Amino acid sequence: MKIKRLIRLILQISIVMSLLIANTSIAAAGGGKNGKIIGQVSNSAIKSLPTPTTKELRAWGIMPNATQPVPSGGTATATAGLEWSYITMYSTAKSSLSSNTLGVYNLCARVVRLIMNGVVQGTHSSPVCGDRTGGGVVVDNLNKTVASGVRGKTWKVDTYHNFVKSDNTWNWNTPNSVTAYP
Amino acid sequence: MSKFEMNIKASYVILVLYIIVSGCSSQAEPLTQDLINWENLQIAPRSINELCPEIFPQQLDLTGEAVKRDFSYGLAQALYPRDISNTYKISAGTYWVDSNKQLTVNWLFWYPKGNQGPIDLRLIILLDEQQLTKALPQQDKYQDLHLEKGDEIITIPITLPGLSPGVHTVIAIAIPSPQNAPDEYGSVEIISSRMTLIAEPTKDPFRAIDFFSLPAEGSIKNDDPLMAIELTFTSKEDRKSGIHIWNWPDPWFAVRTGVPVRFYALAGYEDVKNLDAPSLKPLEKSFFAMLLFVDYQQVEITPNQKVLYIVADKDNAYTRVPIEFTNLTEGRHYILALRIDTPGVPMCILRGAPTERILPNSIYGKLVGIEVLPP
Repeated sequence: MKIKRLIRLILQISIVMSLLIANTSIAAAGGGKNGKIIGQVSNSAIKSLPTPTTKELRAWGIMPNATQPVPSGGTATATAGLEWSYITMYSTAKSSLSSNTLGVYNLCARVVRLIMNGVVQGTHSSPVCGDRTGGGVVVDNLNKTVASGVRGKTWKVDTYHNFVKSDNTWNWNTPNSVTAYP
Repeated sequence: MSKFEMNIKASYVILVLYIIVSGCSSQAEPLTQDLINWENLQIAPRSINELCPEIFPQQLDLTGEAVKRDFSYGLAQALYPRDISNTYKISAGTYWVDSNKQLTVNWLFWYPKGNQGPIDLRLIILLDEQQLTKALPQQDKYQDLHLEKGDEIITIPITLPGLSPGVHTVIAIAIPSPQNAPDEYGSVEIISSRMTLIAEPTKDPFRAIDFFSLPAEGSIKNDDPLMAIELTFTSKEDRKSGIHIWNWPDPWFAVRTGVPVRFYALAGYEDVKNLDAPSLKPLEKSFFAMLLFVDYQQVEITPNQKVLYIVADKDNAYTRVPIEFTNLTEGRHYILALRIDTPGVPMCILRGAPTERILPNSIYGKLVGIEVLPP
């Protein structure tokens, strides 16, 4: 009897443990968006270094070297990102300065358009701007929920990024983009 | 142009636009005009003498020495008057100059050795939203520039005609790798610099432009997609299935010689969210110009109009402008549409102070292809 009880106890513990592990996995995959994120892709300009080939650039739709070192060896980065749950596509434009940047720059980021199978999606998005120095970030988001789900469709986000010096002379502005087929 | 002539012209434009909009809608709404002023920019009024904080010439990086220290790869660019001593006053991106005197502006490029390969750019110059065809050294509608990485700042002189008294905008546009255009999404990488020249004497801080309020077809409140600028064949009647991008996934739209090509440019409201000025109310209206180019040459976007000035209220996700080509020659043609935010307003006002309103000042574009086949 004792052996049977022990086996039953072990089985019960195993079932409880497996349920706990399963729940934890779902929560961990969720990230910060309602615990439902199931995939993501981003095109950080930093990733484009060293300079990709022309063919790659065309595929990515980005300006060559969409990364600029700024004073004291800092780096400006333009990132276009997509992440998705089963029914919602979250798009992001992020302009950022590395923490070792000393100067002050006006940063802007904008999701210009979110596209699904060649059709423009999304609701409202405006350029988001701010004066920033080392470690500074500005982010714009645009989301789209699709009742039929995000999978099996070609998604693309076009983003716009601008880094301008205070006298509004020297500047670096660039679009970026990333494509996903969840 | 006299005030009477301007009124006649404005009335004509209203008539033409009314006819266009009527053609798109069974219930055409009356068109109204609007001018930019302090009130609809939602900025406290300032006098022309105290328009923006002054910058002194020694603060400018005219030779690019500072930018050489700042950037070791990538592409940086700037616009400066060649002879800064001939400016009366300088603010951010804004220069006070003499009217009716020819002026040269230097377009500076810094493409340092950290880059791994050369870059090709197609350069276009706009003055007050009109393409200049003799401003670049090659004196053509555009100029191609091949940049090898190197230690030197590359200077392209831009020769401007004498300016009438008032506020003028110079926009220099560089399109990288034009040989790869168009792509299936109509994407185009607009690299731009924008400067304002205030030609003395003047008292008006804005260029007088009649903006036309076209009916909003998409509503932001109803979650219609907001368009910065889009080129589409999707008609108003078919929009429920979504606004399709050009001829996706084919970057080219093929048509037989002699067959008209009709499509639409869509564009709507725009604002800028300054994270350092969170208490500001959104703009009630946004103002923009729409331009059209065929093979990089500016053409009329509506009959007798090379520039369409539009004002959009804050619920306007997009308004529709029909475009038709009836006489494209056989071969491939590149169709470029540009949107220029808040034209006629000095850059120093558009950019604002760090904790004040930043007005829309972007330049967006779409570049698509039409292939005209033999009959």
